[in-house]
Amino acid sequence: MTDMVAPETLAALLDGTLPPDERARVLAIIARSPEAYEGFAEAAAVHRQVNAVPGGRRVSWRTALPLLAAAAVGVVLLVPRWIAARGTADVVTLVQAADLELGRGPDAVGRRLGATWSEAGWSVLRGAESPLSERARAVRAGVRVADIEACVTSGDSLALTGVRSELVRLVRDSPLAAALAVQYATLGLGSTLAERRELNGQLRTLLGSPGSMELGAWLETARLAGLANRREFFATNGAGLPSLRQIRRAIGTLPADAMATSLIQDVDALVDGMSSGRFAASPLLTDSLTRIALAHAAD
Amino acid sequence: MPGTADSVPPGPEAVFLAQLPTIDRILAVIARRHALDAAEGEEFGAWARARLIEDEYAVFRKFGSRSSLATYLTVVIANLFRDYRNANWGRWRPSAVARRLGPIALRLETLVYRDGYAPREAVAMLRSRGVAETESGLRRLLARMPARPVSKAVSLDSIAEAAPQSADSSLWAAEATRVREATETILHRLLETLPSEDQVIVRMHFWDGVSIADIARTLHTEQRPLYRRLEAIRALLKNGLEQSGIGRSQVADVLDPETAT
Repeated sequence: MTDMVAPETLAALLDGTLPPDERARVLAIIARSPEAYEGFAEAAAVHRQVNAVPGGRRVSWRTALPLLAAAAVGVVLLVPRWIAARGTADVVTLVQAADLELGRGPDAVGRRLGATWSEAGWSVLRGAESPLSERARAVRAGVRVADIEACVTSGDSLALTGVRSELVRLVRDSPLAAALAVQYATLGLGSTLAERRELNGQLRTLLGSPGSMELGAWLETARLAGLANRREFFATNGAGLPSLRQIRRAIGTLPADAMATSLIQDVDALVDGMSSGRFAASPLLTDSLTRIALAHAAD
Repeated sequence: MPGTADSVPPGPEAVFLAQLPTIDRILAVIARRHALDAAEGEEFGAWARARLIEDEYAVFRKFGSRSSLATYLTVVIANLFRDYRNANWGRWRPSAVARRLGPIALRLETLVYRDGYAPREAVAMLRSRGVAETESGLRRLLARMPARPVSKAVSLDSIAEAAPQSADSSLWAAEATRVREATETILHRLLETLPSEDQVIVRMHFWDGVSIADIARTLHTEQRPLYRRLEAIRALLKNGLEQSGIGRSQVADVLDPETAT
């Protein structure tokens, strides 16, 4: 008789679903073979610990509700054709240029920005399984691609795990981009800038609303820079303002309807605040950025 | 028929992606349990994910729904870690005592005797990786493991700190190891007379320090009768060891590992 217990049989033992005679046979193997016992003991210990860990990240209603209320009152939902223009900086370059200085190592980002730094709020508005427009999906993907870039740059494997899972969920549910989900699922700290640029470029194309992804990425990068108190990003000669001005110019070409006007006001306020330095590291700025991202991502 | 792609709707790739949060949680638990640093954890994670999707998601195609998928993945990834460790640690084999004392002891032994870190460095590394054990607790853990030759070139200071300080202490350590091994040989013989489930319970409780509540949950047995059952087994083993000439302190070392010095 072999001393190996098949993984699924061992899993059934741990789940308590083995028939009594098979359970007795498996326990006899585990009792007799040190190797089989080692495999059982390790799997059982991991199983206990996995089940002791609360699953998934929770969104704080206290944080999300005011933002959602603000989004409902003041923000427009707009097809962002304006950023679809070629030549907009890619996410990797933007986050690198933001020079967020979030520290190094596991949980570095959480320690720097707070444990809830990646809570987006939109999962409160819509369940994970709710149908999502491609535009909103692209905005969310842009947010998460920026988060991933921040995690990779910081060598934060812990935070990377969470935001990567969210991006994979978004991508796998997209009719055209689903094929990229596995590549994002296996994207690690060891990936190169070129690999991530290439992958993000493919995603931007396949999501079918490239301007939206860039909008999400820009808003998230700026939000992180605000949270990290990286004033340089918001300075006149910083990495953020030129990109935002580019966006502002694109918005100016939109048909002048109420929604466009509202969005232009939002972005103008950001440009003014950043130009004057008033918004650097201000909670008000962070709130504005989150509000705009939510408005687009929640559609 | 189990084991075909058709039995895993809507396709193994979709299942893999849907299970990714679970997979990442399992990987994180294993990394923490074995005190891997960030780079090691990430490297193992990338390697394990690649194993899960290779051969057209063979791991998922083989799944026949006899258990929950999450538990199946837990077992598969725990096995993968063993393969990964064996592949990366080469011919290094942890001592039986370190195996018995659990993953942190394994890691400590590896850092000191395989990688050549001084004990204080190894202890500091484990503490920096989130190991909850106190510094003195880790040092006590190391003291309970047999001294081994350091397997790679290291500084003289490290060797001096890790090795016994004198010929007397070296003899003492060798004698302690001999007594411990003799005790364990007799214990194994006694264990073999017990029913299989009792043998597993003894190893889990006395060797791995698993609580009775956790043993009950793991083996899906009632917790309350388990206390009496374990007490009866303990008395039986204690008598058997003492009748074989094993001293009380050695018996306590095996059957009361937490109180042994």
